[in-house]
Amino acid sequence: MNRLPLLLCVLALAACSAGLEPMAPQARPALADDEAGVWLAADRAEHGLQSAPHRVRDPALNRYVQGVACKVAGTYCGDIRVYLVREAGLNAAMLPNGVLTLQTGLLLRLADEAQLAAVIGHELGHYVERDGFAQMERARQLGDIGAWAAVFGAALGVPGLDSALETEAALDILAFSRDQEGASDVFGLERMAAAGYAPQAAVEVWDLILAEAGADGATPADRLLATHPLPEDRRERLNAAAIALPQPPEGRGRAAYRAALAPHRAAFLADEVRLRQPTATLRLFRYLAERDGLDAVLAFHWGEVHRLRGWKDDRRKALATYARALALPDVPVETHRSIALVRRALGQWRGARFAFQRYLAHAPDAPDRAIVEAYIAEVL
Amino acid sequence: MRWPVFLALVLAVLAALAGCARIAAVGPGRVEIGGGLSVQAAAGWNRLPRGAFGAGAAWTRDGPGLDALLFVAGHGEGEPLFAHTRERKALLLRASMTPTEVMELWATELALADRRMVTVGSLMPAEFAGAPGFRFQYAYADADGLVFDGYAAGAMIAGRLYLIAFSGTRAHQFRAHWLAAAALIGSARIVSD
Repeated sequence: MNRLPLLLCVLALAACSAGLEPMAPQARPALADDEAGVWLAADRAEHGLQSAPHRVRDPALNRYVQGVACKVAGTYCGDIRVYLVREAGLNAAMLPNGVLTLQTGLLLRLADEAQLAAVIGHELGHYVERDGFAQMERARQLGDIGAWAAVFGAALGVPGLDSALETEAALDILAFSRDQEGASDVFGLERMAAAGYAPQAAVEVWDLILAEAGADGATPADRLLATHPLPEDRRERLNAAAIALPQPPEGRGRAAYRAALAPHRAAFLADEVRLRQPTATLRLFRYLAERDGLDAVLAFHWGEVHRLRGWKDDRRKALATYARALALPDVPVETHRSIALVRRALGQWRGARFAFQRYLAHAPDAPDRAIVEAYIAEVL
Repeated sequence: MRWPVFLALVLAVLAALAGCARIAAVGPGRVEIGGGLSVQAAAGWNRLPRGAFGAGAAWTRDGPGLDALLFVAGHGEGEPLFAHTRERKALLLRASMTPTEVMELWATELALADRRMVTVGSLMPAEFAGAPGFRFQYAYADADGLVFDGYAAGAMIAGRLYLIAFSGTRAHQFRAHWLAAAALIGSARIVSD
């Protein structure tokens, strides 16, 4: 989990792109060019990503996100290949060859299609401007293509390629300059606006990162800001540029985004809970609830954070949060089991037994039925 | 100190260190793990150097990258499952933990150890070392993309957790060594102090 890359930016080779022409659509460096070596390394990283076990393979979700990427990319649609990676981080990354990876923790945090378009637009900017290419000198210093493949692999957590470097070191090597980030911000805004999305969504992406930072000391947001400090005026410049652009009221795509994510949202929330960074996760869940409203799935996982932390007041808070989940539609059946576990820990045997029985009544084929029946026998 | 004496001392220290760090065969026979836990080891098991996987004790048959047998031997209230999470308050054991909560903690430990796509399940009551306990299955992919299956069994006895977990590659090691691991787990005994 420490390998989680935490940049909200591109990872490419070659920086210092003074004088480089933008990458043309459907273009690929000629084999004789130095840039071709960079692409070859990225191709190797992509090959590893294709068979990575943590790649999200759901065709519907992949089709949806790739579709958004194509809307933003326009004539570059065929150049950008999106890979969704099951990680509780909030990173988006692009390799020089057009491979765009998005961590599922980022998808969980985004509110709508416009915010997704903002992330993709920003990343696309690095691709089109070939931002990494001026790091070619670094590439030469580092050695061969295999070494750069290791850098890409480490940054993306690609199996088989990431053993040589720690993620943080890889990210440091691949970090872009402030000017490049600023230019990509502007590029992304223009792209998403051209695609019909509300540019203000790009500012909101920064706001959600900032809302989460500062808890537990080492959250994904904290690490992102540590490796890529937010220039004080960057959000404001982004905001000023966004305000100057049209804000189509229909340009949010909220319903479509939520529908695409719905089958996976519970799993992505569970990934956050499993990290056991309770302060940070509670801050995130509070932010999501305030922004999107509290639904039963979010309330259940919120309760889980309290249950698993188990501090002095956590059991009471867990029960209160589970109660809110039960009052909402589509409550996860596991809520009953969690209520029972908390009541059992509190010595509330009757309540524990009742909740265990409710769990089994709602999930008669539960895979843990035998152990739950043992719990019931224990509290009789 | 004369050079030959100094050199001999250095070599002796290096030899001792090498001895600590190497993988050594264990068994066959009954082996004390610590914390009062002992198991009957058949031939073929190898003890990994102290601290491997952060576990109190860790064994393997084909190598730590392919299969591993991890021991949690009598960890009590406020102690971590693995040494590397000692500083994480949210990951410390509670004597009142249910098997469900132990399994959840196991899943978190795997995730924090850079395992991906961690799943746990099939939690069942099961006797362990002659006491009422539990067993569950788990699976994950390591950083190199190898997929592993795992099986754990344990019990909370007098407020202390005893647990033995075996994992091996799905492609070969788990199935190849499953019977040996199950026999070993079934042989667990706990002698109270």
